[in-house]
Amino acid sequence: MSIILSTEFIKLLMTDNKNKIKNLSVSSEVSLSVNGMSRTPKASPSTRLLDYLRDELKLTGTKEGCGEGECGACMVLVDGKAVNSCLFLLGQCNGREVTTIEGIDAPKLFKAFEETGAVQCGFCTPGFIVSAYALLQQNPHPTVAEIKEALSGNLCRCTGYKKIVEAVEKVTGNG
Amino acid sequence: MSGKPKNELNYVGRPIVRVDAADKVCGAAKYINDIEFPDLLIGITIRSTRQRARILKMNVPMLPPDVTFVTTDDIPGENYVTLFNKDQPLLAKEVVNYLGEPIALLAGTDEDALRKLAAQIQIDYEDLPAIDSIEDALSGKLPPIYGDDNVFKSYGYIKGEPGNAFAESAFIFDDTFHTGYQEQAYLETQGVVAFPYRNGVKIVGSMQCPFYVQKGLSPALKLDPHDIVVEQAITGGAFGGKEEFPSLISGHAALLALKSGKPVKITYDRHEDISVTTKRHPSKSIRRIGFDKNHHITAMDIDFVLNGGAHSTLSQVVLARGALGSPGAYKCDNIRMLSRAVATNQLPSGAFRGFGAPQAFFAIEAQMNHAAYRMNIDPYSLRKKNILRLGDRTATGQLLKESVGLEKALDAVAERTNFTEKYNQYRVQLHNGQPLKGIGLATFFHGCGFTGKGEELIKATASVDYSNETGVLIRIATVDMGQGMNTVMRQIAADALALQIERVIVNIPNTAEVPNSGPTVASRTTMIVGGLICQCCADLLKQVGATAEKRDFAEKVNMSNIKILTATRDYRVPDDVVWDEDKFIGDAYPIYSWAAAVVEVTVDPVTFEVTVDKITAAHDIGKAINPVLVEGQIEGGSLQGLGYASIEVMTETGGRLNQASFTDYIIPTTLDTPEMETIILEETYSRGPFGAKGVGEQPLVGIPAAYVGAVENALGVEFGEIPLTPEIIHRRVHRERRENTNY
Repeated sequence: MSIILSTEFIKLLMTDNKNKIKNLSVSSEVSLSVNGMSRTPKASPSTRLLDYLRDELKLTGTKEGCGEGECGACMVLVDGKAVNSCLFLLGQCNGREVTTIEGIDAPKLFKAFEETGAVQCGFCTPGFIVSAYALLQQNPHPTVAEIKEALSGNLCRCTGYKKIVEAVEKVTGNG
Repeated sequence: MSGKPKNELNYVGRPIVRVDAADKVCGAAKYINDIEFPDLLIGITIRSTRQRARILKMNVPMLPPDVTFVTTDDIPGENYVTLFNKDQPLLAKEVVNYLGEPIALLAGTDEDALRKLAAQIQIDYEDLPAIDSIEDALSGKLPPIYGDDNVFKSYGYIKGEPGNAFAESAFIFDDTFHTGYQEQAYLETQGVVAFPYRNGVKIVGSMQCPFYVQKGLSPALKLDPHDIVVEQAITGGAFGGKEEFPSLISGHAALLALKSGKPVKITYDRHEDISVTTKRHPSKSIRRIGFDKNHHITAMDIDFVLNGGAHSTLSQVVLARGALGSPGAYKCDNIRMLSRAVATNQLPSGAFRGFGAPQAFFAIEAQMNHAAYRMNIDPYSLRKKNILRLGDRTATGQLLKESVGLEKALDAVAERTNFTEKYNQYRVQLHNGQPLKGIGLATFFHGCGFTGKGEELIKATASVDYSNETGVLIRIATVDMGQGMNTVMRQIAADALALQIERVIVNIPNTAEVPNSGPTVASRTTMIVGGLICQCCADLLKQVGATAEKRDFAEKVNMSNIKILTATRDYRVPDDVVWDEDKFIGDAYPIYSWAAAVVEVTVDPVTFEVTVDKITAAHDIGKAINPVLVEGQIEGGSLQGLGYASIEVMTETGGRLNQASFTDYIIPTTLDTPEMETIILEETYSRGPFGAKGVGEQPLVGIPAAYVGAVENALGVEFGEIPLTPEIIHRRVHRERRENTNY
């Protein structure tokens, strides 16, 4: 992790970093697991899962690219299935297990993305990793067509997808 | 200058893994929306709901005390964003010239509450007659938006004697071509944070050109440039869309921050981003081309018009690059060229990868494909007879002295795809209800670096610092927006100094910490800025009497009594690169990259759905510093070009875009992506770092004409516009069939 910040900027960050979660109606109805930890959100059940993850839990690896389920940058796992967290409400997660990019343990997949050149601007990358991980959990030896199908809900504007598909192929052992 | 060092290269030419990849894959990389700022306010923009109107009155409800409201009255200095002209206001005052033009700003802690307040602000307008097309803009019938004639910029020239040459031609063809809008569709939308800082303001955000923002806002904020500190945050894609636009949004955030005294963030959601940010200029080309009986080009007549939208932005330089590309990569001694960028009451058009060249090259390359068809010669052979080679002169008279890989690229893609055989075979294929095959070709170039005198005006500066304790610090304003520039610069410096790459870091682009090495645009970074880094490294070696061959830099620094070394270099345009902008004659660019691309398609004969089977592209870009990153540029750029040519439809009605989301503005997914084969050709450039030229934009440029050519080859019908959708194909084919059955 290497974000370089100027010193004065870090000072500014350190001065008054109070929690500024929107004052949403407190509900204890929802309880879920996020990356293996039990959580009882402060946010209302009608909060988008994406906002809960980013704003309350500060899990900012999940990105918002479109807010309408087209781009896949906000992809997370809910009970092992890849879903767009911008279309999923917190209330729908009651009793379920949510895994974000921060909770995905897939060193081979990460390494394949890095080394194949599957990463450019990186904004879409966590979403692709989540989709690819979900695929490989279900189907450890997918064909190229199956990889493309599984990743078709994720948009990338930089790479032309070729190296992303190749990266997943490498992990399957087929490629 | 830079040249090719003799030492063994450990990094240059190798697929070094990009330095930021590890943070990006695990979600640790912090983009502007991921960084926390204490006491942060959210800023929103109140926009024009009219296409062209006089603002009569703004009725503002009572605002809560913790809400900050900004209008033109709050602009301390002059109300414009500095670029080439002073026509774009930070906020509209008396008139609005496009739907969505910013008028006022609000900041507060709760975005939903702000949106409700914004909805209560009523603006009374008096509508004015809107200029809604290129034709309207040039008709002279409506009051101009810009100057007397509504033309932002015009370039033209007459070379040789086109009139006579056409008269003596064996073949003359007239064609008209249209290209549509294209949205950059970077995955991370626009976003900046501004906060009061020392005597002025600091801006952190997603952007390509920190110094553009600084310079752009200085007159409006009435602050010395050094009191506006601008820092790039990790940027989630840009493609030109974050070249000039961030100056406007940064200005808005800065006004709110200065008035409220607090950090203010403005980020656009996808809807707002697509609706109000700059797009690729729509274009219209009316062209005539002549050939002698041996199919050599005799003359061209080119009328090239770009729709610049309501403000001039970068239109003049987009136009220049388009004008220079419009004769294509061919020898031609007789040319009449007129090019204009015009004002309309539409969204301002702006920078987008290719910068005028995709429009211009679509027109010339589609025309060449049409000409080949009509003269009954294949497109490859026609190009073989006409392309530029070493020792030839370009349309503007530039002598091509070195590094011309065009013919190699053309031959490479033609051989690899078996082009001529397939083209001739598909031309006579049976139309019996079975899927139809097609293959199309384009040849193209991209001038590396700024057009004409651009580099002279920018005077790029780069610094490299070194101490044995800290290692190498590269100080440049170049941003990594996904292309991998930080990795490329480290490779260059590590090999130039013969050090381990881990000893090299690149300073974050912050206007208070790095010299102005110019904007990250125009396929200039590797060649121009990388070249300066190479020179700085050579200076450092010299300061302690070390050489890269002996790999003794660190040792020599140890032995010397200099603890911290520094070297700074300015870019000087070589004396033998001479450009006359008024006459449009001379060396438009110091050097060119060259390319050829083949697109192969299958067309459904009933629905006219086009499946792209394969793109084969060969690019001469000089030395590929990092081949994997280069492939990434070529593959990504090719797919953007394919989207532009086929599925990325963006239209407007009365100044309002009909597409405002990824649901209706469709960009390619994995399932739309064909097989792609990339051939990298390395005709090295003697003045580039290790022989490198530029690669960023070129891959997109030629794909549209190759795509349309392939569809034409499949159907035997000509087309003159992109995006070429199944609906357009359907209409055209059925019209053709009706016409053919009439006699």
